[in-house]
Amino acid sequence: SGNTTEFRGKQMASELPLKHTPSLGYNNLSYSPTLKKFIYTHKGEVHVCNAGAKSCSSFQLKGAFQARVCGDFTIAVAANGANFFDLNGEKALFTVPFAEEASRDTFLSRGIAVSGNQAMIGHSSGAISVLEVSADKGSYSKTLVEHKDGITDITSGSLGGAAVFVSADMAGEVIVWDAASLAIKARLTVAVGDTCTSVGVCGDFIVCGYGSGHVRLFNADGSKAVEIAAHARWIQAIAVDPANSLAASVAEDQVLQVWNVGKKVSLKSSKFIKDALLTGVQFTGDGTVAVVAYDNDRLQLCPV
Amino acid sequence: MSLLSMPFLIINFGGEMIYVLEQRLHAQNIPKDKSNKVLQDVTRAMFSPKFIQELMKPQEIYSPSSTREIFDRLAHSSIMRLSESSMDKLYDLMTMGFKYQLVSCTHPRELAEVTLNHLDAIRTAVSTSDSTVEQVDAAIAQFVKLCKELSSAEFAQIRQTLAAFFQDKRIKVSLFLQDNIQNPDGTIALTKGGPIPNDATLEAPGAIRYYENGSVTATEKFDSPLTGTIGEQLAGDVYDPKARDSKLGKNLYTIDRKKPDAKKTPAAKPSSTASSTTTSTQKLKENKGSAVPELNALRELIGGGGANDFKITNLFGDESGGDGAGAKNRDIVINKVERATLLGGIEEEFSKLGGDSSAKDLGDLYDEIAGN
Repeated sequence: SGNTTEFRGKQMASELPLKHTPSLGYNNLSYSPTLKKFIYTHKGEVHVCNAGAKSCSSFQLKGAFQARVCGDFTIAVAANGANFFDLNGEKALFTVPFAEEASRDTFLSRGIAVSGNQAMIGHSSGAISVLEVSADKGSYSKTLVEHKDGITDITSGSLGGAAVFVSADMAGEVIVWDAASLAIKARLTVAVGDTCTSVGVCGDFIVCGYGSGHVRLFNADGSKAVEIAAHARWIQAIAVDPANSLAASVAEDQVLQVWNVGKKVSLKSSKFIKDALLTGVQFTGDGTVAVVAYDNDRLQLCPV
Repeated sequence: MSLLSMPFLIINFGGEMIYVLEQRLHAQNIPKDKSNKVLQDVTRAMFSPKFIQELMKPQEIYSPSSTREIFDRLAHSSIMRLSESSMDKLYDLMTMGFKYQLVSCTHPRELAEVTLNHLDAIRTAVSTSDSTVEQVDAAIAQFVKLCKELSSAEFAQIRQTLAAFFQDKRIKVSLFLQDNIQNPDGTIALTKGGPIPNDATLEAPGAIRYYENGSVTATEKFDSPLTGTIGEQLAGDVYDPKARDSKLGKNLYTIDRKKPDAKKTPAAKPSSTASSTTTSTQKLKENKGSAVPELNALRELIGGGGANDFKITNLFGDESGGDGAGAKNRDIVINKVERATLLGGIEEEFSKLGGDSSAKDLGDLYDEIAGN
């Protein structure tokens, strides 16, 4: 594509063409910095957009609810369970079916995270499947039943130095889990009637995006630290860049915003993207943030 | 995904179908009692208690081809018979109309308002028959009950499920292009900013609040790209037709409009004449003959028209041989007092021009009417 933008003296593509349009869903963009590949779902299919080669490919999998790059894997979640692929999505490594107590009453699974040798997958029943994974195999470990509403997102990260998982649900409840023991470390203060659609761990804070358009930062003890009236419409995804203390939020108001995260919060940059129901955002680590929109055949790269 | 998307899909699609049929029957100068019968029959088929009961069951959303079969049957549940190309065009209009409404919702719960706007309009269209109105009222009551039980998050799920159904549909509709509802490439145009929807959790963007022990200790402001475009918060009532905020789901075909200027129409011409209409409906037809017949419980609940003396063989054709006033009418001004609309003259004109109707899309037909 001839669309480039100058940034810090380098010419970088500001748009990547997508062979298939992303579906409308929470957090529908994942990125592998090592392979420079973007992953998203299109009507149950998992597609890969290779930023370097500007080519597209897809996984041999149907009925996928969500796919995410986690460490050395790409994990695609479907009704049959968690399907583990290599980072390229070319080699299917193994599949771990969901246990009956998780898959019963579930019609949708989403929220995928890995920490150490454990993976967490969320379900619409509110249950969370915990899997034990190694390089070439995975097995069911246990089912966590704490959330009372469908899971919207799960993330992992280092919260003030401690490895954690964070899970969020449709009722707005957010739980922080110790990654090793799976003990509950904190439950974040709930805003009644406000759905938490996306979570990230950034330094000492848990960053959460909500259907009300708010971005809220919470302390490790679960107390609310900062509330940003960030967007005018439902937030569909957030992303975090802990190394640079940044968070990004995208919503159906067609706006991308990048925030400086810390004891002081400020807007670093923002962009209005016309006619874009933004549905996924990722930091690339190259000084840009990538966004995709529902039914839109262009992935946009914006300077951070 | 959601298991509750079917009522929203079928009722909104049905509402769009009623709008187009109503307007076409009028434009064709079909006698009032006949056109009324068609609308009554179609509505009674769609709102029969058994159909509604099946519709309201938690279930996966139907495939595009199964859904099309339902509406093929509904359209033929009366004395009216449509040619395949007429049915294709009708379905394309229904598709893009509802897609526009779905995508334009400013809050997931607005989907309830869209559906209720359709339901109220259907009720009005069949108001001459108390028993039909009763059926529609019963369905409205069930639908309202369902909506009141759903959280905003569940509405968001339903909307995401429906969004997948309409993904990649880019059929260009002249009316929508003219009204800037649709971009020249067929994608739906969205509004920037606008009023904050009526929900207690919402506020206009701009504030950053700091907390300690649950209390605000400081507030700062930031400049959103939407500053200056956000309106006052709405305060309507979803369930009161007179106080509903949303205009989505109201009749797109009875809006005042001016004749479009000549500059616009070239842009409305599709770049590929391999008609987008044909492509989308072709795919549905290809799926129909698939080896594993799909379960379509709803389709099976729709009865046929039965024997009748009067038959309309082609809704969009020049057949009645009457005064032809409608057929010759090139008036493209549409006002609220049901004049022949933009679409009104299209099919008659086209059938006079001859040629294979499936090769053209509505954009071409519009241009011909406008005399370009």
